[in-house]
Amino acid sequence: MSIEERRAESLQTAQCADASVWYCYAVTRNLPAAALDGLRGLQGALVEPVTFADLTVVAGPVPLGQFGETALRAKLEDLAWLEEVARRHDDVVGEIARHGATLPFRLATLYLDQHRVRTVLETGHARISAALDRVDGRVEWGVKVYADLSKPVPAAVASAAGDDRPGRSYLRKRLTEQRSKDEAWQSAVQAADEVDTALSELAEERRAHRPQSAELSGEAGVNALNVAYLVPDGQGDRFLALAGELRAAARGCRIEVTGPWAPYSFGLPDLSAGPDAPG
Amino acid sequence: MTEPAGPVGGRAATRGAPSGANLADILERVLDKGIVIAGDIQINLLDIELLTIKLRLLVASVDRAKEMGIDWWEHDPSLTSKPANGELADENRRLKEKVAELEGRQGRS
Repeated sequence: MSIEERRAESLQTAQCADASVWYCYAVTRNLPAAALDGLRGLQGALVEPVTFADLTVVAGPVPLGQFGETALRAKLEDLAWLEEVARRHDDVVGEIARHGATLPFRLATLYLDQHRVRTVLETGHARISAALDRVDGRVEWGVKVYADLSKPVPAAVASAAGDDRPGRSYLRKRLTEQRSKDEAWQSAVQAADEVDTALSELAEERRAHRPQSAELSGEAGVNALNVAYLVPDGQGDRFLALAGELRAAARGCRIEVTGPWAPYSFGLPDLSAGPDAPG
Repeated sequence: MTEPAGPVGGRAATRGAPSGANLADILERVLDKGIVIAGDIQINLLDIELLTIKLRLLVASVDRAKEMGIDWWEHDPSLTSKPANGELADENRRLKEKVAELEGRQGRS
């Protein structure tokens, strides 16, 4: 039976909402037998190892009623649901990563049965192994630099506009404010650049993320730099110490370090080799 | 969040999100990074229109930033293909016109 036929058949027999599909969290290798004991993923379901040769995908059952194509499409629009799934996904990934080189899957990678998951390992064994080699013994650290643009314009500059025409003085004040904001931004960008250069020295690889909005992150200031670094375990202490020094010395900007993360930003670009491979 | 979750001590310290990691940190990783494999249930996360719109608003709030007057990326040659000074020059021209207009009004009153 072809995969398509199998898929069609499984989808047909799995129409009832309480049928399960397999949600994949991460792929790892040489996973110790007891590593997953009691580890629960989405919906509180125990996760299971799906193994081929030395590789293991950690996956757990989730109800088709929520994770089928139509349901998932709708559910993903719900930020509260998305947050819950994203945090649980990351918790499981983090737990697996404690035991060795781990590559997290993108959110909502789903298979109809464990046999299909095993096929992925079988066909992608060489590429997955190479990608695991690349992150083995390394962790990801996130570093963000926030510019503080809220500083008030120095009073001397603001009142220097001793013009009797209020319209002009208002505009001058606005321009001064804008200029001071621009200068603050430029200086933060420069500081961010220096931080990035210094930390890159201790990292094997770096990957820039898009700057974050304060609305979602809840952080003060404007995000000028958002980078993930892949750091060898042996360099971790030096990396953190340097980040700490840079943070203490920072003026007009704030440096934030997050991690250690599983190497999300340094996985395989696209195993399916589809046209929508991310950059 | 300004302090790392803990000292890195090799593999034992390897974790997913540090406790209290902000949602943006997690979403940018689980939605945008990680291994992409065509699953049996085909959802291209980036195809979900509303999700994309929301994430644009929340994770990389370009429009919101513009509202707040933050549009530096439009001048940053590494982030845009636009000429670096185009927008600034426009803004300058607009401001000059505004000044002239206001001065004219002031003169008349």
